[in-house]
Amino acid sequence: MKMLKNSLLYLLLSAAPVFAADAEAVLERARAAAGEERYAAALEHLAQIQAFHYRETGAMPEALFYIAWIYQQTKAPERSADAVRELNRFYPESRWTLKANRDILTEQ
Amino acid sequence: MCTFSLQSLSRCAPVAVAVFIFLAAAASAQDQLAPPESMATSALLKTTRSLLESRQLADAIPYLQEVVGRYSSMDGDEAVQTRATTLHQLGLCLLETGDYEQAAARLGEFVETYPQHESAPLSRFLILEAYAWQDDPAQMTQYIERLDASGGLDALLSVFGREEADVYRHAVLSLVIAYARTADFENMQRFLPYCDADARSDTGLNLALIEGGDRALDDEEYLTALYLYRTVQKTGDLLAGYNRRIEELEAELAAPPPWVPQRERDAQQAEREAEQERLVRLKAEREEMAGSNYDIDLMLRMARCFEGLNRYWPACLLYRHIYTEFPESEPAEQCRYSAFQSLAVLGEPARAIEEGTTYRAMYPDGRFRDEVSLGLMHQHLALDEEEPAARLGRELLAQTPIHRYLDQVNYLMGYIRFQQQNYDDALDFFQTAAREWPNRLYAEESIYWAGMCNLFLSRFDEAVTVFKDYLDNPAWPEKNFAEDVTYRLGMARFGLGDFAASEQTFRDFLTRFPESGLVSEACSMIGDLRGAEGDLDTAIEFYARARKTAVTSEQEAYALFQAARVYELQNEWLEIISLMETYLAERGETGELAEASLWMARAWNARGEEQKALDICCETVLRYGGNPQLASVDLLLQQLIKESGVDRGGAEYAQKVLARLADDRSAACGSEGSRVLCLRLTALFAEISPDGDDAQALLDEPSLDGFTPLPLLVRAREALRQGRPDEVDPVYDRFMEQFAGIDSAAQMANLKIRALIDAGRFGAALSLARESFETYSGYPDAGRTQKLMADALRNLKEYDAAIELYNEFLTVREWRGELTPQVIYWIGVCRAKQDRITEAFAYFQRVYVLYELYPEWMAKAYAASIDCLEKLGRQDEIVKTWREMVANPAIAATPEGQQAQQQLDRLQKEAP
Repeated sequence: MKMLKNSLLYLLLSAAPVFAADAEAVLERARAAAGEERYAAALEHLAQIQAFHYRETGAMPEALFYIAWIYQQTKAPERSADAVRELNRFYPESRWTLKANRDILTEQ
Repeated sequence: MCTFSLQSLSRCAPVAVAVFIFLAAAASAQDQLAPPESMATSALLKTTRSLLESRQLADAIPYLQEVVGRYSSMDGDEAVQTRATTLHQLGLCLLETGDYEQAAARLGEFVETYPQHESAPLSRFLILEAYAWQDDPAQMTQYIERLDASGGLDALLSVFGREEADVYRHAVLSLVIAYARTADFENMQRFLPYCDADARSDTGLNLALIEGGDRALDDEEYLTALYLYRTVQKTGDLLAGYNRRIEELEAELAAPPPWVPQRERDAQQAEREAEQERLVRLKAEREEMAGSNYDIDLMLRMARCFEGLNRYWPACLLYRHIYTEFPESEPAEQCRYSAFQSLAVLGEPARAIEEGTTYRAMYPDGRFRDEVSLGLMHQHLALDEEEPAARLGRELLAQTPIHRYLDQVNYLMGYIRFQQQNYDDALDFFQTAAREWPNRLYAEESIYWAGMCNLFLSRFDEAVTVFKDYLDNPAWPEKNFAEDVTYRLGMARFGLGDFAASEQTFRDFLTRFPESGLVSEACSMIGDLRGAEGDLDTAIEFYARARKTAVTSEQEAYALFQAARVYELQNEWLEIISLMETYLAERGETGELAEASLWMARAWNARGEEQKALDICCETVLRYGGNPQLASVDLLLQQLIKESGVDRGGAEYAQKVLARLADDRSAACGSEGSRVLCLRLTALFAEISPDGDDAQALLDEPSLDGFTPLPLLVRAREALRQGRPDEVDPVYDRFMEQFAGIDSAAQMANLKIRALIDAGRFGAALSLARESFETYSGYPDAGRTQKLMADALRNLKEYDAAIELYNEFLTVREWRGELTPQVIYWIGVCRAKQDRITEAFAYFQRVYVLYELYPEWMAKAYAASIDCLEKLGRQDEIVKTWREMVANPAIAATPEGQQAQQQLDRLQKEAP
């Protein structure tokens, strides 16, 4: 009986809309696309975070970091800097901001 | 009452929440008030108190000011307390009545003079609020920074941790609302965490966030706007807030009112009635919220922010989300259009076409019909889909009501026709666009292209007129095409034969546009013109200038080889050699290796130094032949093959080439690191040596690694020669993968088409031939492609279509040559297949009468004509034809000639 209860609980939890998990899945797809140098696809995935998952404070700075990185790779330094500026302005305490300042701004 | 219609957002301005410590039982206001300065102090205090209690705040202000003034010079605790309280009240009244500047000043004076007063923390908030209402973020920020530096901010914020924090809840909400409304995101964020769930779902706050966002959007502060909109609670959150507040209020009203003294009963009753009214209002607001487009409006605003930030992917996703989730909503149509536009900007033409096409299907008379259809033409063109774009353009030209952007449709149709080299039609469209809409965006461009069409149609007179009129036209003081048009005017005058005017135009061009990318070309044109006049020294000077100012390798190479031609006229062979040596030394692998080497070889030959000439070419091949990327080495090899004569190994020059390179070839083929050079030399040997083993060696190579254009062509030709057409496929694929852009790609395509025909895949052959003909239309091998296209049609038994193409072939002077008798022969075959025997016979006869240089095709034509004569019953002429065949030794040696001889022998034996 206890087992059944636990299973039901698990089903309920897994069926619930877990926003953070969605955001992580989207980020994972973006990371994979960026890793394969499919930058347009990666930016399309990251756009989902910007459009729909912006309340996820963890997902947004990470997404912005990748956007900055992708634009750096595709030789669009102004756009890359825009994303880093956004990180510094709205997520100054995020580790992704520190990483962007260190890895991306330094290289620019 | 605040409305949720964001389109008509009214200012639901929250007013500062004043906590009137004097407020007690209501008192009636006095109708006639004496001037404050004339009153005794006790009367002044009583009047002031009465005005505050009756909330006549504006009237109370001068009395409060008088109290503050009188008590400023008094000592004693009671006097200090009265002055402090009055000063605070004065600040509150000023805030309530909207005099924010004075309110900030008075409250500032209060907290500075009485920092320990119990109302000081609240007053600090209210100062910020006063600044906020003044729309003065700089002062707000300064004040906060001042507080921060003095440690006052922590003290201010610490009140939220205390139990009496309730007192400040409304104050902080007001402050946050004020910051939000003025789009001061950073300061809003500082205080937002102190708003509880109820405050976060406060209608006033959320509408203020939207108002602030709109304000930032208007100021093109897209990022600030975006983050303000993102802070807005969505419908679900707001409804939860409403439900919570409604439940609490209902519970409060359902409970019996607490006991209060008799004198306060009326006030209590009034308060309960006000609460009841509030409940009704909250429920109405909840209903309105539930039925509104609030979330859609919010998403639309965010999408506009993304567009402003040039982030079209999130904008596109939001638009798609709206029309997918709310297909019946009013903005759904606009969102489909906006998604189409976003995809177009993102450079996703295929997806944009899908989006735009769906829009047109869903909203045939939609608001954005013309924008979408015009955009679709652009997107098709972005995909090089000229025909679909043209089809759509034709539809739009015939559309009723008339297309809003008909000028642009005409312009695009002109562009398409120009791309298709249909300059007559293109000219019509450009002229229409310029004539009918002279003030529209594309008028200037249309005139320029109309001139270009005339130029391409060799209507130089008209081109000169169009270009000159454009340059003299005052309609465009800042002419976008002045530079290009001046250059083209020089070209048109050149075409017209007005060389003096042409040269003067190019010289004017050099003066007016010294920084232009066309300077080199103008110099070369002047060089050409001077050269034609025999002024060779000046020509050489201009070619040198053209090389110096060249911005592309093509411009440099043109001037270089033109200079070589002038030196050739002057017999200045050493100048040519020096010029090319310098060029090759400077450009190396990036230069025109083949042509420069050939010029040097020609110069050495002219000086009687044949071995040096051969050495130059061979050294270039050996030096650069190991680099598979340098297709110009293959070009040079092809030139060596051409000069070695067509009869394999027969030419003396071929023998010299073989002798010169034999050792180098052995060395390259014996070394693992020289595969590319080995393959190239093997291909060269295969083409000029009598030994067929070299071609076989290339065909036997198990891997195509290191194969460059020439070895690939030789391998494909050998495969075809041996009847192994399937082996051409990988060779073709490899060629097109790496060398699709070079001249011999057309040859490779023709070999593949031939292979498809030989394999009986006529449909595929036709398709590839059509594609190839379009791609390589200007190449010398295009004639062969045209013939192969006709061959494919003939094999598909589409004789009329085949004949049409064969006839088109015959009209092009440049294609005349070895293929001409073949084409005429095949027309005859087509007519014979159609049982039009007399016509067929005439074609065969034409071949053997006119093309004696091609005995193979003469023999075939003779044989085919004999078939015709049989069908026509003209037996006597058959014998005559056999005799004619055997009388020509070249024909007699062919299989058809031998068969003719056998027939004659048979007749002789049968003769009595």
